[in-house]
Amino acid sequence: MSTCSWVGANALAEPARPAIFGTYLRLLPVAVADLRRVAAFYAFFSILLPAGILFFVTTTGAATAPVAQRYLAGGALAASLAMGPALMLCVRFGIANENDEFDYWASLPVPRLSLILALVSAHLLFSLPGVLVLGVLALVFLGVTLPALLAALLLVPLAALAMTGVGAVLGARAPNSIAGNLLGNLLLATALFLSPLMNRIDAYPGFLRPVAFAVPTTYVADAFRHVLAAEPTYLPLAVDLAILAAIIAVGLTAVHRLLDWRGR
Amino acid sequence: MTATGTTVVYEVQSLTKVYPGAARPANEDISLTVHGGEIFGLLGPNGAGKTTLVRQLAGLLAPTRGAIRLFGVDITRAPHAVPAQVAVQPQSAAALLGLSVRESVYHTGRLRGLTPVAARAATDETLALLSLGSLAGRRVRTLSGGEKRLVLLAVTLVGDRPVLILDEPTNELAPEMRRLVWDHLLALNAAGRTIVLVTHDVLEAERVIARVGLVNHGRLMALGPTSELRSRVDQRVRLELAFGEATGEDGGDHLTDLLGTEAKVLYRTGDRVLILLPRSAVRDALAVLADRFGATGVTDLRVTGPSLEDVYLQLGGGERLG
Repeated sequence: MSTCSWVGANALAEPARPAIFGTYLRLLPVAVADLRRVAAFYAFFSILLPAGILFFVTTTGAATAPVAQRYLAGGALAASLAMGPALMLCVRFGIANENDEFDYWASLPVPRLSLILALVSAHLLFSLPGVLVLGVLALVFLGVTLPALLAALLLVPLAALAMTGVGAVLGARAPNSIAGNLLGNLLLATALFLSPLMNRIDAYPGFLRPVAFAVPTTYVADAFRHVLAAEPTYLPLAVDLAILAAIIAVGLTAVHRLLDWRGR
Repeated sequence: MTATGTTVVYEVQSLTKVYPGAARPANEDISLTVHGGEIFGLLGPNGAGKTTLVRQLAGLLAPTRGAIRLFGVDITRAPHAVPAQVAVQPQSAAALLGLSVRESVYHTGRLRGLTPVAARAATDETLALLSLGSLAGRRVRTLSGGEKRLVLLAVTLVGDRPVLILDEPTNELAPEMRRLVWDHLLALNAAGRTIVLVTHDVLEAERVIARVGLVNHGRLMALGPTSELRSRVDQRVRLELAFGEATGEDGGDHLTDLLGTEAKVLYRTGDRVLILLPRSAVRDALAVLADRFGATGVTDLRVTGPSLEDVYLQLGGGERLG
């Protein structure tokens, strides 16, 4: 074999790592394209359970006071994000692990963080229709005002990122779709029953209350409630936002470590 | 550069991979080099350790021990350096299932650093080369196994990497597509690409491989140019026969009685038998077979010299490939 023109040009020094943000922008359309055909299912899935609970609670007369109704609205929005991005991303990672899907990405000049951010962002994007529908339901049936709802929508990216981060962490080491599904449902059950989404925290037995503080949806729901309140309370809201930002940072760092795609 | 003036693309030294909990290494003490501009073949039966080896070459798997240098860079320490030089054919289309064929190729090109305009042009060119134009708008999820395999090859080729790692590139393809793929790979090689090819299809590999490594039980059993390895095995002529059912022939020992003591049955599989003969005995053997079985008793007959498969059978551990 003769010396080829390529090899002389590529007797290389170690190449620079590709830029994280630039690659993220290139990956985002791929991650979005992957989800676009399930958008309707995605929205339906993230609306169904929270809307069902809202319907049940309001029609049984369990929450008639405006304060209670806004409390429920905040919980429903958080539940939607637990159902949609968190559960779906957890399952998605399990499927990807099962099919050696990350081998494809790892064989390209793609930083792991760019891929994680692209997947998380796509799930954030596809969670919006469900949140919007629930917001409209809250507007019509639960006495939430339009300015309060718009403020709540501004919170969605932060809240959704926190929940997708949690879903990604759980799914990163799920060996297959079944494990991803189980872990996602475990997260969902924990969010619904161990964090105060549909119930006040003082209604929980004393030994369960500390658990609620360890569940991210507690802070997601709490933040929504602060902005949905007739008179928003800014200091507690700032605390919730800080905690959500910390959850995002810890979640992304953890999934970056757990998704050890070059070296398993 | 080596003494012959050929650049070393891969240099593998004492590579060992032991999976956690495994009883024996998947790769054990493998050392080899791949030179620039060659087609290097890795041959071996299923489970031999070929895929583990190429996953390490691709930077997708960390070795337990040993070193791999790609153009002089130690990729066991810097696996992220691999994608800039190497395109690896994915084993699964899972990452692309939600995309169309065109999107799969285009986005892969973009991720390999092509501008949007260049990626569109490269996509059109690659789809045309592999006759995928009619499938461009189809989602990968809806394609047949062979079509998916072609898409995986297309995403490997887009972006013009100097080194290609291909694992069974023609599996599941129709014969005309196999030929097209091999012709295209040969053209790429002629244009300077280095190709590492994993296969157990020796008949096809025979056409394209310049140097070969034989892998079995995780070890490199033989390594060298195919012509050199062929010269190291039994030089007798191979007479491969397939018998029609009506003959009742099972390739039994009486066949060697029929053909003389110089004939040696190398293997039997179903109705097929492979016999080694001295070159001087071939003419008589064919006459004997024609007398015994007539024109229709033998349904297939091939007379060949030593092949890569013989190399494998004699130097690589004795198991048939495939």
